[in-house]
Amino acid sequence: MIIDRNPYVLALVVAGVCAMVPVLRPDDLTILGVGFLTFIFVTQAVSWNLVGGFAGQVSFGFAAFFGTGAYVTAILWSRYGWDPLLTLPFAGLAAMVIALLVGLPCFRLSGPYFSIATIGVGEAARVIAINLDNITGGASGLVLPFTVPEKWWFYRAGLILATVTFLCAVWIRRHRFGLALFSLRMDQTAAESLGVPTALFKNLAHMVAAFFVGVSAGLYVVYLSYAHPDQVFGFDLSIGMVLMNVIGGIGTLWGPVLGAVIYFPIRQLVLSDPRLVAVNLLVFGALLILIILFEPGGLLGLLARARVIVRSGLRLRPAADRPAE
Amino acid sequence: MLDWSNLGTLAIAAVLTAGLYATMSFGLALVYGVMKIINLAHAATMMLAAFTVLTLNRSFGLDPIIGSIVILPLFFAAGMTLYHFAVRRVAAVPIASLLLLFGIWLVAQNAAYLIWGSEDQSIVTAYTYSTVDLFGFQVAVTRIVPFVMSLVMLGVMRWFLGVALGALVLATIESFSILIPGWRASLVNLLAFGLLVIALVVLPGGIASLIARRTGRAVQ
Repeated sequence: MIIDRNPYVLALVVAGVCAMVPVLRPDDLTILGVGFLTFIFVTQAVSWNLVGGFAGQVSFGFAAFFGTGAYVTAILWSRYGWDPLLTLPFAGLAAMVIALLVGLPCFRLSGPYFSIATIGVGEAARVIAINLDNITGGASGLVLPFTVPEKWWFYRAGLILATVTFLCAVWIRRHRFGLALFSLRMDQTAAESLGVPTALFKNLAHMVAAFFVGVSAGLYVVYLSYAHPDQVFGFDLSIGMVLMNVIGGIGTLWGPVLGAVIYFPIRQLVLSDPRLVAVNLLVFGALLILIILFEPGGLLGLLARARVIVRSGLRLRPAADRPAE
Repeated sequence: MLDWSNLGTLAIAAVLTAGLYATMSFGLALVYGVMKIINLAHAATMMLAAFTVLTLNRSFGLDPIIGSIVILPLFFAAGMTLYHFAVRRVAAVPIASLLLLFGIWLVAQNAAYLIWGSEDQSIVTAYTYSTVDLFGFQVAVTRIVPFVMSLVMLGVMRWFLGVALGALVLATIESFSILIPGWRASLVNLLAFGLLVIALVVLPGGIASLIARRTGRAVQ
């Protein structure tokens, strides 16, 4: 399949097609807005996958990085008058530092213990942010300047960020680093005995992921002109990153992209109706249960299964006769 | 101001709350010990039990303490059903079972929002606002009841595991393969999961009479 063979080319083609949207529909603000936010979610999902998918360390605490990035941009922009674009790398770097601080103790825990610890980290970050009134604006949030670029600018910026993040994920996947992450996911002890510095690599993956999440958060608050701890440190952000990956296919390259493209519009649609707000996570929770029970590979796993069925159906002979692919 | 009498009240309150927490963690530890599964839906079970007791109280005027005992069989069955149809299938993969139970938690929490709303609710009984004199300190009955129920529950669980099922559960903790012939590992797991749920369920009844403002989010 071409997707497996050259993800670089396919990613650039998909990005190119997406880049045509603002040219063809420059006045359709809905498409541009939804597109931008989808790219932010794609960035989050692809980044999360570096740690949760490639390295197999399922984290429920990524909101801490998103919130950090968001507030670094918000404060540098509104209080010190920096150009918002210039603040983005610093948002990413700050998230990286937080990732290191979180990772150093948490990666000493393995498997489910790590996941549980990250729930605590995410919630603690939110509570701290709410209580640091003079920095974060506390429970009333920070209102940021309204002088923001046009929507198409955000669309392009989001697209570039998502594409760069994805290409970085592809590179990691194909590099020794990615191979090491996969090996430690399968068997950490075996990986260590073969000389993989597991602690270092887990932290590295965590920091790279946090960087992209932080940058996406910076872009996000510039777009909204508003930052509130409950919003940028919200637990639902962390849940969302897990869900997008599970829906699309955890640990795959295109899974998180697919998951984000499906998750975000449905979420927006459901959240826009006040009667359906509680249904939102109910539906996604049920989906999570069904996927884990019946197709742990997510949508990509389902597609692969369908392909096998179609092929074996067309050949009209038992699957066992076919040579292994 | 913190004087000696405040400190005494605080100490008593702390011990009473700790009794509750001990039973809560007992269920979690049991399931982890037997099955190596971290039950993320643990708190959701408690929340559901508390609200079931609340509903029984509103509909039939059932006392929350009696209510929490009445729903024992229901939650035992629910725990076993959950184990049999869902958890068992993914029990071998740690992350999968974690995600599965996380999904169950999400569903339970949001279903509770839909059914019972997101406001804190409380059960008011004749003894809700009464206090007793304990070593010269006034202690709320609603704190003592859950504590005593927790202790009873812990005792019953210890006895049940030690006398009735102990060898089997211990054997499964050691290894599935050294199980006593005739007993299947899955059966022991099934019982353990049901037990875990039971361990939790008596408590929320007490908690419900204590504060009963367990919204889906409060218990985590």
